[in-house]
Amino acid sequence: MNCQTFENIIDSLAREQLIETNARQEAQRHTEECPECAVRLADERSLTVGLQALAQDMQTVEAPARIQKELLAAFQQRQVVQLVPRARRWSYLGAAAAVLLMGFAIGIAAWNWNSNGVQRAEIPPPTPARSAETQSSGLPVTATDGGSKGKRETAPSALTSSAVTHRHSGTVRRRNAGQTTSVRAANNLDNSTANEVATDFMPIGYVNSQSLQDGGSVVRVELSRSTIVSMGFAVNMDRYGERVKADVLMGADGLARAIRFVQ
Amino acid sequence: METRKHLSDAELLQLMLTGDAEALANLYERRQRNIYRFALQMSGSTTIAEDITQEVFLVLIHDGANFDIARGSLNNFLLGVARNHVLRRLQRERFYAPMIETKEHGEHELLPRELTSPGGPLDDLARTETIESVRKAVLALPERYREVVVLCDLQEMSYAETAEILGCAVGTVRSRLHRARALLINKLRPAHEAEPAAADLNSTRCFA
Repeated sequence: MNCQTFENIIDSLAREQLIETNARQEAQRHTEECPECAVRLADERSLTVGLQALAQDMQTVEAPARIQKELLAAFQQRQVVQLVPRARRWSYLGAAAAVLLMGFAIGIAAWNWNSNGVQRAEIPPPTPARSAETQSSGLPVTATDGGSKGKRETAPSALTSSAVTHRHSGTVRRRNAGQTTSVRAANNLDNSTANEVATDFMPIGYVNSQSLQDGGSVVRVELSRSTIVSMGFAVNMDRYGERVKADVLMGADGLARAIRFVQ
Repeated sequence: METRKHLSDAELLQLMLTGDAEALANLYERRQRNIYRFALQMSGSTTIAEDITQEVFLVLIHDGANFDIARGSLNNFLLGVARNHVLRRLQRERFYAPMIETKEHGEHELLPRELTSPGGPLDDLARTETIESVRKAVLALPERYREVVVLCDLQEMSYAETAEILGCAVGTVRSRLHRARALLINKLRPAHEAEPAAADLNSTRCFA
């Protein structure tokens, strides 16, 4: 046996697996003749011992009991959902589709009406850019494009959804050297954000107003339901696969201070 | 529950699919350890391991009807699902994973060989440290090598079963395991053995 052949069976030798008697004897002879292969086999055997010790150490490890309870609860919940008659489920789906269509139609009509109405209106020359940076509430407003991912906003002064205000750059078009301006976007609100519904900010862990004085940012994220569960919120486990949009309020130290859910 | 011990996994699954919650509890009792340990050994995080265990059984609850006994055992099916979830989770959290401590120059890392030399009051401590060293070394392996070590060496599964879970050939499992073990030996070797002895090199030069 040469070193290459020995290398081919060294795993089986070290892991005490079944191999042919002849091969085992030849390997034994080879280790007596070749000190490098003998050291190699000793290393492999030591590794096997270490791995066995690790496996033995984890022999008693098992998942916490609460997982079983949660799974059984999810299972029971699923059974209840399945008990709803199929015809009734279809009627629910039909109703939901009808509501969705009506909402869509109303939305389209409203958008058309707004855009036509505003384009006809003559408005005074635009106010200085600085004035657009603040709103009547006096809060600093620095939100960027509401529809894009990874947007950042400065921290609101209070943990409520109303405190986080958005500024969206409506397209401003000047006519006749700045005399006439038409505004395409009606309320300076992006459609995607205007349709969003958000909860109030809910604190994660201990939050006081001083911890937000150094500033911070609001980050839009998509969370799995398991993550939401780990934060201590109750979720519908029947829809565990879906992700949930949320705004996370980050402190200046990079730690999450509060969260709100967006739909 | 006692009367159901003789039922196979597939039979329990059929009962579970008819709405039998006790069958799910039986299946969970039988298989959760393997899945939890696999996820824990792959990720090194109890939080991830708990999430993965829950997700695997939720998959079984929702899509258990898709399981085909002809394609392998339920245990291997569940471990395959766990493996996919773990890899996805590790990929997602790659940038947030805690750094594995690497040995510094001259720092002596405990060799598993020391397990074979019993005697002395510090045996338990040495054993604990050795287990910790091996655990860290396994976690530091690339995922494709780590999974074969976890399945073949830590879960003591055969090459064929491992190949079924990973969806690859038996030969691939063998070669990856061989490479993984070589990497582990290198990681666990003490620093002074891993590098060529400087003194020998100097003396060779002096006499040359």
